Amino acid sequence: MTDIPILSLIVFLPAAGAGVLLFMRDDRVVRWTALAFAVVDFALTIPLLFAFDTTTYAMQFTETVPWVPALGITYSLGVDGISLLFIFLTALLGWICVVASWEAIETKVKEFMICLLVMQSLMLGVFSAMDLFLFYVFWEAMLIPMYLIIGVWGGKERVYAAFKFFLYTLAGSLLFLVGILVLYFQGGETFDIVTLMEGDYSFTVQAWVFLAFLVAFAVKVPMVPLHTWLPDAHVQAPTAGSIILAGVLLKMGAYGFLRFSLPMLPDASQYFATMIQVLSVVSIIYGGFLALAQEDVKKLVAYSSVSHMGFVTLGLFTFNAKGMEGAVLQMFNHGITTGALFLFVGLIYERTQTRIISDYGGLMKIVPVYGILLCVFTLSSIAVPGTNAFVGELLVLAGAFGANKAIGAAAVAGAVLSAAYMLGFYRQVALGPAVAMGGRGMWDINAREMAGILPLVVFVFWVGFYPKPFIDILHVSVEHLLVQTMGR
Amino acid sequence: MIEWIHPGLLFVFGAAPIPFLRGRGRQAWLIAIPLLAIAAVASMTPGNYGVFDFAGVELLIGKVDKLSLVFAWVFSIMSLIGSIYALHVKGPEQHVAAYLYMGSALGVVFAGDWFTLLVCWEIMAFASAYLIFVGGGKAAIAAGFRYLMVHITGGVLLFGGIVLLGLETGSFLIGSMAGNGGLAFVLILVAFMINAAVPPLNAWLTDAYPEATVTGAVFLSAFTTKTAVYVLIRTFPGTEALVWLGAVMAIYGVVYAVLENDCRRLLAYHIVSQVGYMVVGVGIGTEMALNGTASHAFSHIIYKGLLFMGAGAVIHMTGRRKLTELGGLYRTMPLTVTLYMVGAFAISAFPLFSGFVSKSMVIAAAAGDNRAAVTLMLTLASSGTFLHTGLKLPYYMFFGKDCGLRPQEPPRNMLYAMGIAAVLCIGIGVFPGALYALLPHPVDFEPYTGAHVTNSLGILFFTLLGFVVYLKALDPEPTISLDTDWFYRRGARLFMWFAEKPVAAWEAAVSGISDSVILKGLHASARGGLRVDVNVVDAIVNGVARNVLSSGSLMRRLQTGVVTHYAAAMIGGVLAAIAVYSVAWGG
Amino acid sequence: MDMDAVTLSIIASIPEIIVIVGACVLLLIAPVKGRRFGPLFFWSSLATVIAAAAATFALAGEPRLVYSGMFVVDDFSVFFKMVFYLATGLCVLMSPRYLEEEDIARGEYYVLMLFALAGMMIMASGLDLLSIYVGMELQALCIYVLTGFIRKEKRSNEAALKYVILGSVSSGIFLYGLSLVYGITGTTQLTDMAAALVTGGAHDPALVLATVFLVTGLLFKVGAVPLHMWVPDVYEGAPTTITAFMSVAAKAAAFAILLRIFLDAMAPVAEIWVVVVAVIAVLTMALGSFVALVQTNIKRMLAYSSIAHAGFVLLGLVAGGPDGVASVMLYLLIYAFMNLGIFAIIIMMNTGDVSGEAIEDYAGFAKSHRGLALLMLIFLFSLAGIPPTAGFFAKFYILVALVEQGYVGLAVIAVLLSAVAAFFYIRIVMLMYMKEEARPFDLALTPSLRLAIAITAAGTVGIGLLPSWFLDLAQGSVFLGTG
Repeated sequence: MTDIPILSLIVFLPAAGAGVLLFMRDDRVVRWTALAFAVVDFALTIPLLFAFDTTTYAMQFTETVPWVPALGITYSLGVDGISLLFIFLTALLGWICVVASWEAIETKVKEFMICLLVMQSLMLGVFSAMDLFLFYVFWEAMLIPMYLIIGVWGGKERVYAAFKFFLYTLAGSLLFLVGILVLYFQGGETFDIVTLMEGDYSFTVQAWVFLAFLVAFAVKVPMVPLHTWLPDAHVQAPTAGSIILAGVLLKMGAYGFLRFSLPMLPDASQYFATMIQVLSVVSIIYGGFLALAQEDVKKLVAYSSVSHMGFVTLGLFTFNAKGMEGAVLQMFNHGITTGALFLFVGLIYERTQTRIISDYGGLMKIVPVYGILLCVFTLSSIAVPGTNAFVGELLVLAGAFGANKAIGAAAVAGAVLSAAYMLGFYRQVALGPAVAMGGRGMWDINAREMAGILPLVVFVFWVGFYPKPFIDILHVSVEHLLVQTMGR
Repeated sequence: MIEWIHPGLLFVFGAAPIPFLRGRGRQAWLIAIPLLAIAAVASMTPGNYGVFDFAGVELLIGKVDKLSLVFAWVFSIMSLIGSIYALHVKGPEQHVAAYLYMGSALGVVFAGDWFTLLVCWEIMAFASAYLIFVGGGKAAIAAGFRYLMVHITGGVLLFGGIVLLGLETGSFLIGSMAGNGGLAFVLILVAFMINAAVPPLNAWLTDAYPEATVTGAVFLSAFTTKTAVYVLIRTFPGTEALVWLGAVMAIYGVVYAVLENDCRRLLAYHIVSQVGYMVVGVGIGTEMALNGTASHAFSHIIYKGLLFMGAGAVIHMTGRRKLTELGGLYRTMPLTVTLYMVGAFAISAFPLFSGFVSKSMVIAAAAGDNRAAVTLMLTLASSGTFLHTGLKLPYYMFFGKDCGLRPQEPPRNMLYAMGIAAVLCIGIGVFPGALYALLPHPVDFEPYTGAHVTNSLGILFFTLLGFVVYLKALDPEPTISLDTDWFYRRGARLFMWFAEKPVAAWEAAVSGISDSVILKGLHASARGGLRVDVNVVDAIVNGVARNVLSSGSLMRRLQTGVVTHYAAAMIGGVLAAIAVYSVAWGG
Repeated sequence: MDMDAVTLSIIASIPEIIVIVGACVLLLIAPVKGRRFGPLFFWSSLATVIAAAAATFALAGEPRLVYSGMFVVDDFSVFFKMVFYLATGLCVLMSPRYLEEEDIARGEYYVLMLFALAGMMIMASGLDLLSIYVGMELQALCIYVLTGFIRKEKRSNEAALKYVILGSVSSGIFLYGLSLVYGITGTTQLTDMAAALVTGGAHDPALVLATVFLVTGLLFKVGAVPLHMWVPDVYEGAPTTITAFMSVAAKAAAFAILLRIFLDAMAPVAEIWVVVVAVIAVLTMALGSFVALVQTNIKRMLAYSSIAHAGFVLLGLVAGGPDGVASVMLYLLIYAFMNLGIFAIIIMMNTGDVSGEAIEDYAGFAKSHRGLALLMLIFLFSLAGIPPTAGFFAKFYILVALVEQGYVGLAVIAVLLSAVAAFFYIRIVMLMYMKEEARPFDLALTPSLRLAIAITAAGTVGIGLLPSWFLDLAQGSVFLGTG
């Protein structure tokens, strides 16, 4: 399509930025440079969106360079409708993270920004890798900067949380690696994802590989009962870390499902579908329940992500177009909404230095703008009609009912829970009489923060009222995925 | 699109500039929009307008037929009245919320497909909840929260039902569901019943309305329940269960009104009772019954609005809500009293008032359908209605013992609003033809037959008599003086006992259920779940890690540092290997 | 044998000769000059290594079978020799400052190191059990002495003694196995042995016995369970530079002959030894990883980590086949880089009074020394096998070989255990980055040490990002005979 390797550019620009930062001294300069790189990177994704051809499921903007020919490993990038959406999301959240940690991070600013940018590169790499080995390298390498982000700039329990995150995910993804190797030899000694998708594997192989993948992805998603690293990581991580975790990392599990498990292991996927559906519904309800019981805002949002990601996996394994499109869209939405919620928690934490819900009260009166915007995202998280999450959950539930009425009904019950905890939270925090909160005193959203929030607000309503463009991007790819999964 | 303007959108977009307007400008705007809406409704011709494709589903936001026109008319009229009544309110956010509320209500009326309906349904819930939140004070927020929870639950049920229905029928266009008895049917019916405040799902209404702002309550009384009635007519005509539920509602509301001391809660109970009539009408499902329902909704909205406005005016001027704290206000608020009484007569279905021409239609339909019991219950209810809204409330509020207050007449805009409503009440009562012409089905019903007039008057006057006799007994705080005859006293006592003890208990249970049982239970189980998560799921993970570590330190002890041990280990290893082989390979 | 063969043999063994001659020369001047000429020894030994490397490089190409089939110069041996040179050279680079800190700057140190190198080279090239044994002992004896080189240090002496005793036990066992094999096959020459074993039945108990003994003798060198006991004590006791030398070079040499003997000579009777080696590999990994978790001394921890790594490499042996061999070779090369990198930093931490061996000493290291901490981080993650570092590719390739041969179960166990192992590496990262520094760091940082660190870091990152060339090298150097 284009002569310049735009994907490589997008993927490695932030890393280059990190390299530049190495030679900087002054924190202010560091911040601005980091922001510049992140924004430019985001800007680069926009021509990608326009140049993207929504009529074909084929990989686009592909680049292929032999890397380790002896093992058939290539450095090859490419995007289809699904990954494009996430590349966009990642690039968007990338600079929002920089903005979010503008003042929140006071120590080792340089190192933090470097970690952030490296992380950015790796995440973009994961979504654009078309070679399974390359994918795994990106996927695994993310652990390093994330480990540092949580462990160095995190809260009190940060070390514990960092270890837990690292080992938990590592153990999961190592099994993934073995699964990859089995596929590699079954699929004719190639790591090329597209080729592997066409391979036809015996059911036993599929089943085992599926389980191996399942562990890796279920940890990342996270799916009950492999979710316990999430609350710790989320609560301890700095705001930007939480945004990345919730906004992008969790998506990667689901992305793994729909990029590998479904197309490469269709028979096994169908064989285990019911199991996954049940697990998803359990996650939805269980996560909702736990969220209801939280006193810590971040924990509440963290558990709510467990619940919301349940919808995603549920949608993926309904095996009908509605459900899958809903799932992918829901991944995008969850990235926007939960990312925003964490951002808001971070903002209020900067002011009050507390995260205990019961310490708050009457923010609507003290900081009205904050209150109103928070309301927007609360509603979006409840999936009120007119917000992005509604469209996603609508499609997912439609798909779920199509697949299995009981499952669908249970999922609906989960939706009520989300209303219960989010409204309860909002009522306590924003409504009611104003409460004196300690910390550094209150001030309403300032311009910098607003700059970070506004785009998210835009997407909440854009997807909410006019999802067509997003669905168009997805549609063909999802249809193709469906064919790959059910076609055989 | 051009030849047709969606009045709901008028309100939604009209809400935007409100915060930026000030003083007269805003007031003008507030009146202009409803007028436009009325004009839009007047200019409408039946047909389908505004078809969109949204995420692969066909949306029809403008389905205009006679039925939707009836409600569109009354909603837009009521929005005008309500806006006038609320003109003096300073805070823009209340107006915005009210506009969104009315707009979405109209959206429901014109919704041709389930998703549009759902969206408007949810917006209604949130907008109206705001009107309660701004009532201020802890009670208001708590009530508003409960209100919101109930409606969201309703919304989700509706949603589930819709999706199911879509899968069953393949179409998302709204149509009658009578006969379909599937899960979807039940889900949707329950969702509608929640909004229609059908017992035992009525707790939210009487709980929330009295907490709303003076002006907010007027809007609330008009839209939420009536939209529910509207969709019931659309989708569930002739559902037998509704007949009985409705009949029960009618009585239920009246009975509880007996206990009430808060004037607006009393009125709220009468909403329940009145909606009961309409539900019955839907349940019967004959053309006449549906006509009755529609027309009753029409007149009800107006006179109930009038009543709320009257009560609201008093609260606005005195700041008191309890009947026992009011009284003797007729001296200084004659206009308010008169206007209120018009509403009271209307709701009590006095001839020549709007209630008569519509309510009698429902009752007649019930009778015509040979439902003696239902007919009786409805008749009783109507006498009860007169007893409380027509006699008790005004007696204690405006007449009765003097509370010493000397409030002035309310602001002029309030009086105007009430005036308009009153005029309509009488107008409809005197010239029912205008209303009947609007109704969805051809009307062959003449309210002013000798029979109707006489027996309804009969009932009313007997009620009046009873009121005079039992006056003391009905005292909100019963103080039985000795000079009244013991027989009456006994009778009164019995009645009051019955009204207070078992019935009150049941009511408390019902209204408490949403709060105490469900929410508390939810939280309790949630905390339980958390405990499980921390002490079981997470503990397993950490346990594994801990065991690995401890096993590490265990093996570490093998490293004694004594060289002979090491050598022994080596030899042992060799021997073990040999042993294994000699076993495995059998030499 | 006629002159021609002799000249050929001499030519083929020039690198060994260079090393030995260089060692001898140093030996001669060592007593005369003594410590004042530290730099002289340093440079000359470095020169020797480089010269030998050059010679080896010149000899590379078609295989030369000389000394009547006892000694071979094939790509396989060349590859390993290069690894030895690399390890030795880096260790030499690290040495000078350390020797002064420990007050053991004496010429013999370099001499012994060179002799050890020669021994390893002979091991790598040996095609006859006897020549292999000779090389093994030469290398072992030198390392015994070097282990005890810090004479005033009790730990050091004790370690040396233990090493000697246990080492001789293992040598004895190995010799016994060797004689048994000779008895069965009538030859000690590996290729003939293979031929003989093809005909002979595998169920011969004597053969089983012989195999077990050979396995034991060789696995002792790589420190596999249950023959690992010496490793922690010796690694802790020995001078750090020597620990580094052992953990990389000596281990590589041991694996070289393991590969030769088992995948070449004893390949026909693989069914005998594969099982036992597989079991031992798993046990080794498990024990290494688990015990390393609870260590407080970094050298001891690295000792256990090297045990764990040895276990992982053994899996390559189990897999067998060209990929198996190549994976082992590549792993050893990469291991040389990353492990020596770590040791270089440990040595740098050692400033006379502070030994820098307690893991807690690294707390807050990142605060004052960003660059070095970053390198340390790279080495640690590489040892843990996290991409994009070289350590990941090493592990990855061994897994490839395993899965290729269908040992999926083993692969799963391996990855799970390496997840456990990751803990104690990132624990150090945690200390460096997430704890406050306990004391100001003053580092024994010399130019040569800097160079060493730079080389190792470059290797660790470079191979990680562009493994292709090294992979081809390893695959190209697989010795003939394994089909």
